Amino acid sequence: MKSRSLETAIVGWALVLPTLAVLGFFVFLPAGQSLYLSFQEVDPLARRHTFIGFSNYRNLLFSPDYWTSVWVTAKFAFVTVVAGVGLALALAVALDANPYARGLMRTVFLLPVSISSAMAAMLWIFLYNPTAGYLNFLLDLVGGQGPNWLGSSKWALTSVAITTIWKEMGFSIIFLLAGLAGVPNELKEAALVDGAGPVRRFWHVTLPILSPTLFFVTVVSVIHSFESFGQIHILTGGGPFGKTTTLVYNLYIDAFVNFRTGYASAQAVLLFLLMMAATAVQFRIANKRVHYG
Amino acid sequence: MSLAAEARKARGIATAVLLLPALVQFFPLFYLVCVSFKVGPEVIQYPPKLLPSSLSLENYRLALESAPLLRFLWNSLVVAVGITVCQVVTSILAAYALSRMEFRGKKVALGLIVATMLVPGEVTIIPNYFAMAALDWLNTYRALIAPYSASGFGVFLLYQFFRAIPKELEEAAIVDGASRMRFLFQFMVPLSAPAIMAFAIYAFVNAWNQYLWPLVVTQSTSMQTVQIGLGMFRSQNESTSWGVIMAATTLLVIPSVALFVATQKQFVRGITMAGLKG
Repeated sequence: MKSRSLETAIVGWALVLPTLAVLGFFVFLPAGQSLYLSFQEVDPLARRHTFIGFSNYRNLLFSPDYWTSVWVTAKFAFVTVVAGVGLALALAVALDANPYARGLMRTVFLLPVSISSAMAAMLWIFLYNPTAGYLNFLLDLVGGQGPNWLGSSKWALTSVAITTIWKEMGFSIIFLLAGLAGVPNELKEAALVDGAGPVRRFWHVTLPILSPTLFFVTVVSVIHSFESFGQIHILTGGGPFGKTTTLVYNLYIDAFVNFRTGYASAQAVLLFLLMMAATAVQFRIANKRVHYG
Repeated sequence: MSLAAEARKARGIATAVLLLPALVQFFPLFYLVCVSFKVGPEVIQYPPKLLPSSLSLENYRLALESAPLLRFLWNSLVVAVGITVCQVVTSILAAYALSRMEFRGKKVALGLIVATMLVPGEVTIIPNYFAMAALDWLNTYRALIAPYSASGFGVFLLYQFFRAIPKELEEAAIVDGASRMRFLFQFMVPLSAPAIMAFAIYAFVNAWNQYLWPLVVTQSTSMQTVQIGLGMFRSQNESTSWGVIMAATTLLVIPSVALFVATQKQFVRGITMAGLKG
């Protein structure tokens, strides 16, 4: 019996080993190294390390550029999450109400989810062209003067956000549709008998039951917005004047363009903490407000 | 008014409400294809016409001539297939051990594997880049595949599916003389085939769509994936012709669209399962 359990242990660990080895070498080890490097001054070729304590963190927190990217990230997250989830909710409710159109329409809304952020950016980049693009032509038709979308300090972040919402919305729709399918008809009937109109029924019956899904979709959208990179790299390159430089984009530039390894590692550590904090805060709020039926 | 009568009315309103967003959502793809056929000054003429004046393939010829688009596609295919196969195999093995075998340290192993789902790639990218440089792996398929050859999510997902398969089945098979591995590949894997398939498609699409990591570890054009190659092609040709750039984009987006249309159900399933991990 003893030798049998030893054999099980050996086989068990042997089966888990490939996964553990890969994750150990490419996730745990580098995560630790990032933390270590964040306390180091590293020369651009990464040959010499010098311990400098919290200097990288101090420099970051006193850097106006870093705070600009914090602000850009916050605005970007706010716009993509509020507008994206709001639109997704409206569309999911409409799709849910129309079973005949659902199949085809769903495909249309989901398609962008399967393509990459880089491809999404390429689909939109010429639309945004201020002189030859179709967007400004349409605005011209209705009498508006279109902005220089990607080149404008005022509109660049909005442009990136529009493309991001276009690409990500389908993701939220999938989950909201599943959530809506879980609203029991009997409850709606009961509310109807009580004389509640469609708006009140949505507000008092559908929304409470949907709230865990809505909450989940919001959390994931926030995390996605923090991690946005491909579309920014292609559409604006972080410009103009850092107006679309998010935290992740700033990290990329410091790490792989400016080769400030220690400084960029400190940003990686802070980014990780920020994402953890955002998730934790949302869970706290949700525990108070969300109705888990 | 009954609920059914109201549902009929709602259906009509819903269709009307959905039409415009659906058009907006589809328009960028349609516009892309239109622009890809516009030759020469037609691209920048004002006011722009939506439809091209001819279905000239000139832009496609120029795009294929001026950039190794097929090479990009091949690279993406090798990388995405490599990552998918590795993730599926490692996840099946680990999930089987974790769900079906009792051994010391199992809980710790499962905990560590699941914890990696919380670590965003941006946190590990700098040390991983230096590791690739130290191994002299930059600009190789190895650098693109190795860091993603296992998946915490994959293990967790299959672990849950395997646990749902009744233990009696395994006991019966083993009494019949089947070895553990034979049981795994003859029973567990086929029984979980839909989940494995959905995970495989999810893994493939994610690998195909990767941007930051391939951008960092591939400098030579011949090793670039679709996503990186297209971005480079755009920045090099911006001044010359948008028509050619859009033709290249069309060619490179076709595989993604085709895969989605062919596997929509599994794709949605994969996303839903990935979502439920949280």
